[in-house]
Amino acid sequence: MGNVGRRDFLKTAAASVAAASLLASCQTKEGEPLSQKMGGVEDQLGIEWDKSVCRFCGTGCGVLVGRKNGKIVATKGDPECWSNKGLNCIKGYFLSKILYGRDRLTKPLIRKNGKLVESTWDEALDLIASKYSEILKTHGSDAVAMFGSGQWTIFEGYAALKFMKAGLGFIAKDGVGSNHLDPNARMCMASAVAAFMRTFQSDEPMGSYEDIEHADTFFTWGANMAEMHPVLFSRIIDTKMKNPDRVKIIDLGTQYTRVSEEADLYLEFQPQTDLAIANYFAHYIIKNKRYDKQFVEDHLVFKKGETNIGYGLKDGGADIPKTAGKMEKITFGEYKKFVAKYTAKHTSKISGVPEDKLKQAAEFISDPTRKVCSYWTMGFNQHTRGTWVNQLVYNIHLLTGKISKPGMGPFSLTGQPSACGTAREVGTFVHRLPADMVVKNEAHRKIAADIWKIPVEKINPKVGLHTIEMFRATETGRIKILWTQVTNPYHSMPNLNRFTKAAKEQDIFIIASDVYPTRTTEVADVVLPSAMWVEKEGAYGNAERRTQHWNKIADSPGEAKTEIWQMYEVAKRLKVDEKTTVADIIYNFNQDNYYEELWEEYRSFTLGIGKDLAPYKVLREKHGVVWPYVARDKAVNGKIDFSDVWDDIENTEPNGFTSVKWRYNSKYDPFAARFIKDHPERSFKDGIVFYKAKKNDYRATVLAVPYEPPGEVPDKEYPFWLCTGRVLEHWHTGTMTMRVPELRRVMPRAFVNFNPEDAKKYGINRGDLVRVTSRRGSVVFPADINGRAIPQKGSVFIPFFDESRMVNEITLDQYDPISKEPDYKKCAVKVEKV
Amino acid sequence: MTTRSEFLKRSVKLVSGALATALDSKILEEIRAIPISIFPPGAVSDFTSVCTACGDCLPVCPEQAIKIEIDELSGKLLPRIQPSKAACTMCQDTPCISACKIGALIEDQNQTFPEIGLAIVNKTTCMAHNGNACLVCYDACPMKRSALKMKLNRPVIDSDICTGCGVCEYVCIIEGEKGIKIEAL
Repeated sequence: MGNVGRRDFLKTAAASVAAASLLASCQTKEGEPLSQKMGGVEDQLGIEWDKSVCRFCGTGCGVLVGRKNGKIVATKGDPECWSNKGLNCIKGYFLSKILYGRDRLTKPLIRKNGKLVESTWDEALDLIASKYSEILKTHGSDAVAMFGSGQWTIFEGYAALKFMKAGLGFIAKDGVGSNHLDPNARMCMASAVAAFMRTFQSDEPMGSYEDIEHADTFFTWGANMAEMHPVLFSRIIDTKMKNPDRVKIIDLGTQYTRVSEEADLYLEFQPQTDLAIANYFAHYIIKNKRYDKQFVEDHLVFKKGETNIGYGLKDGGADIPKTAGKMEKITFGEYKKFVAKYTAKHTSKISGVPEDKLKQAAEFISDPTRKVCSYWTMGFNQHTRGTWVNQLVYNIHLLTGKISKPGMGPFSLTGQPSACGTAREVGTFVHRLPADMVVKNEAHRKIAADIWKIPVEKINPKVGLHTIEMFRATETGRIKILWTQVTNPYHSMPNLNRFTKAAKEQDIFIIASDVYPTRTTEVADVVLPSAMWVEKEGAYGNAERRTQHWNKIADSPGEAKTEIWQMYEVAKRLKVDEKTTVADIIYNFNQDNYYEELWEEYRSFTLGIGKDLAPYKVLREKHGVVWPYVARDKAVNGKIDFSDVWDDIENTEPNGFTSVKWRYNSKYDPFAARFIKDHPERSFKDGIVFYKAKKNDYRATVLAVPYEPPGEVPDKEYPFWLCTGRVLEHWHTGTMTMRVPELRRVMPRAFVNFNPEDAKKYGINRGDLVRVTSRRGSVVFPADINGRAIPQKGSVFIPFFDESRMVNEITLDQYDPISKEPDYKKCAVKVEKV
Repeated sequence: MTTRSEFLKRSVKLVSGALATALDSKILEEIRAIPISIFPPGAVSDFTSVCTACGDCLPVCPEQAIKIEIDELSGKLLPRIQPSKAACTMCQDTPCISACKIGALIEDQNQTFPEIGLAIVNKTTCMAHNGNACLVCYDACPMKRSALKMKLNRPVIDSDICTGCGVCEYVCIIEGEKGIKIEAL
């Protein structure tokens, strides 16, 4: 064979594009059984498979977990899980290896003379219980805080909520529980929550991932889905591949990413000016009469938000007006006038996006023939005006009526596997109770107290300290006990140095429940080794309202125990009187049936209100169930009878249940159908009703708020924007992914990503060490240029996974005054070659 | 061994039939039935007879990617590169070519960097091609977005630009049969 033949062959064969659909081998209908046999059945390699959920991001991919000789040896995408349809990403591919890092914590550790030393469980638990008793009896529940996680299983989150909000009140001198319970989800999607509540009075999206297959126009707002939600991006790509001429991807961002590369149109805007662009789109829609007149008339209410609301830079929120969250009713005409100043010219001037690009994008989003989906995550949520900007995108979808219909809708993606299922639905926030209820509301407290069988006075009506203020309060000595579970705040808090200093210098007792040594266990007084992922029974709830359950499949190493067991054992040691312990009151579940009883108690919060979760037995069976999971008959669901509207609902199951894929749409949502039947005055041709928005006459809110600059902007001394985030290979603070040898090898350290022109100006080459300095601190990173993402000129990007170089030492602890979520995406830094 | 004409026939059939951005393991196995070594940058067309295996190009390689080994086709000991062990990183001044005093490695005035092979994606083993989003080779390619692009979320090689440096093969995360591999031309 000669060189020419081989060369021609290889070159031609490899040149053309005809990639096959990634979803080819999947079910055509959800619920269809595939051949995979679950639980207790071995395949030809002697591997026994069971269903679970990926441990990483909020996509919530179903995975099949293979066990051999008691060890998890393989994982693969679950084709029967409708969230990912068998797809996976590089992290999911190596998922099983997160269990087997060499430095797993296997014994409780107690700090003695400054050093963590091994102890017994009894010693550690007795110490913790005595601390709780002492502090609660001398200082009351205000001195006790817990920082949890969107990676808690739903069971764990619920147990923690009861521990803090119901249990501690029986010990504390002030007789009330503590609301100083916040999840790391505060740093992740609190802005999305606030916007959902302010717009629809009900948390979480109306649509589902299935929209991706029905839509033809995708807007990604500051969302690098290709790296952060790769499986959903693969589904978008698949949709585009099937209809490449029609399907359009429009990417709006502050850096050119893998999404921009695949996009048909890329709008690069100056940080924070998404506020102006969204208002421009609304203006364009109204000016060109592209709004859905009937929808506006039937379903919307217009409001004006308070402006100049501060940035949470002063402790205790001293720079935030009390009225920051206020919204005042206005007319459609007034709204029209408000957005009219966001002309293409004005918006282009603020945002730096050329006018013609703005117009092109506005044309796509407003085109009445297009099915538009909008996606966003941290670009919007970690934003000092995060609640606003979430709402501004709802404005667009509401004005055009592109919402609650297959293929159309705004969709807030989440970053953690159970940010929705645990943090939001269980309500492990300082202001919340389960199922969207709040501690401030007396009726809500009454409902909770009744279910928990405790006196209502035990539930504290005062909202607790949200994450940033909770950690600021560790500086003043107000917080004396902090228990962190499944999270790593001493790596992930913004302006980290100030909080680490407080942890080391203040008299604060820190308990860290974790699976590996982290920056948080480094400052902890007691470290509790925990069971992780499939080493315990669990359930997660993902961004599309899908609850997924898994069984315990593997044993945990050494003496590692579940967080549920840890809280139970502490509660058991807290004596209310001679005979009763806190555990008797809050964890009074049958030991043989613990998880089922706990689930069914929690589930009773959700029934009959449109947040209805599936029964335990159904969850164990199915590969994820989307809520509301509604029964036709009152005899089954116990609250509402749907039998007279049932026949009009699509996608019902033969067993008399339905999983609602599009909320507020009476074609799919029995609650909407029921509501319309009972309220004929709210019956409209499109069959849509925002039935949770009682306060607004069942109308969704369109909010008029302006562009306002961020809390810190580059200047002469600190000329660069700093944006932080993730990379495909690593998840969050890298505690799991950095222990997977393959992932560590391909992405061993964090870097500072430059725009090539800036790099040239500063004489920086790829690999050069660069000192990045802000007003808070200074960290050295190797430079990356022309990486997989290209920041815009005048800005740098640094991922936060690397514990050896923590970018959060230089980020700013500013936050959205409404959602209290910190902004990790914008602060000012300078750079110099080392 | 496959004859030249058989090989060409098959190529034509493939080229006119179903084409792919990547080839599957079976076709790659057939291609690799003829074991052609990857020689250092600038290797002349009759490299196997010109090169004396003096070893001058070995120590100057900053990656120590060049090793003297048996070239299966000629049966001779010759300098060659195995990218999965150490890849060429396309030094601008090509010290290996400068070190060659006998004209076995020569500079090509028309090209910025001499072509030493071509990266081919293995459809059967590549993670991205099998629905597991991965960016490892793309991220490492010294000429990303030109030689190696991501199209529809999967790596695609531009065979006119790819030099076959082998960094992609080196970093590929797949154990065993790599998802992307350099084929000698």
